[in-house]
Amino acid sequence: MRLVDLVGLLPLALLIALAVGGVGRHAPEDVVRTSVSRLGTLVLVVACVAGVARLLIAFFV
Amino acid sequence: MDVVAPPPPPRLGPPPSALLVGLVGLLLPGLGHVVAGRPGKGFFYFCLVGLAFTAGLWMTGLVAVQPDRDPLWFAGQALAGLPTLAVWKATEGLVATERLASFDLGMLYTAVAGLLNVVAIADALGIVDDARAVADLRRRADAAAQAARGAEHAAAADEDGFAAASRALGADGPRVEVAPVPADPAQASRFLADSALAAPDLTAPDLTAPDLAAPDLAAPDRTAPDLTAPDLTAPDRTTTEVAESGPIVGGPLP
Repeated sequence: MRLVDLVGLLPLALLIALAVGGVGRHAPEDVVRTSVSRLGTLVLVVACVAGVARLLIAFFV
Repeated sequence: MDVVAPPPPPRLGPPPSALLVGLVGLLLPGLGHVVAGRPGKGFFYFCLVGLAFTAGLWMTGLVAVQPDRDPLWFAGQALAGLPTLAVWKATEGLVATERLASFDLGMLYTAVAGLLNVVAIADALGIVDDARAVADLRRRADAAAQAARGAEHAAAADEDGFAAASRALGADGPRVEVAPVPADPAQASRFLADSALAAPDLTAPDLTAPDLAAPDLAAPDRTAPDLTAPDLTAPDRTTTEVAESGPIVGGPLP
């Protein structure tokens, strides 16, 4: 899998962020605001993990 | 201008069973929310799970649900409930002729769809908990209001009874009837003597009161000599010895 292939995970990340952001919230504004926050967290974590894995491969493989 | 949506109205009536909400939500995504009284949110989760599942199914070429071939993926997909069962039965005879590039990603989408349904069920159970808390608060408030009404009724009954007793006794309450002194001197003296016998004799000595004139034996006798004090009239023997040995003269030591 290449880094470009991670783009295919973005819709899934958006769905996960929406589902998690909707837990415990009923107002649409709250759901959207929390979902954006969760999406940022998800993208950051996945990008960091992918970058670290890519660096490890570049250095040691 | 900020437009803030009003909070949803609280659910009235008894809260639903958590077991029922969980089972129904496991059967069909979002149905637990409908049972819990939040149909809009149930539709929201139904769309989310359905979108993820449909996208994954399309990426795999409609052969995503194959429990014999991919049992681990099927464990995640089964959490989506009836849609997984329907797709499994509908695509049971299909065989993949070529491996698509997006097959793994599609399998991931379908499995995550089932996990998203678990998130939806957890949210529906949270709604049930909130409804139970609201019902409990309402029940306590009703009990407190009923107790307050009972106290008011009791106070009103007491006031009614007091008013009835006052009316029976008169406007100013109970009266003290004073018998008049007879005009005849003999009868008057007998009346006064009877009254005096009935009244307490205030001039008689009170035997229960302490006698303040009696000596207090517990108190120390201040007129007795203090045998523990030093005798200041006795001669100081150390002073006398110094006087007999003569004056002390200073000088260098040998």
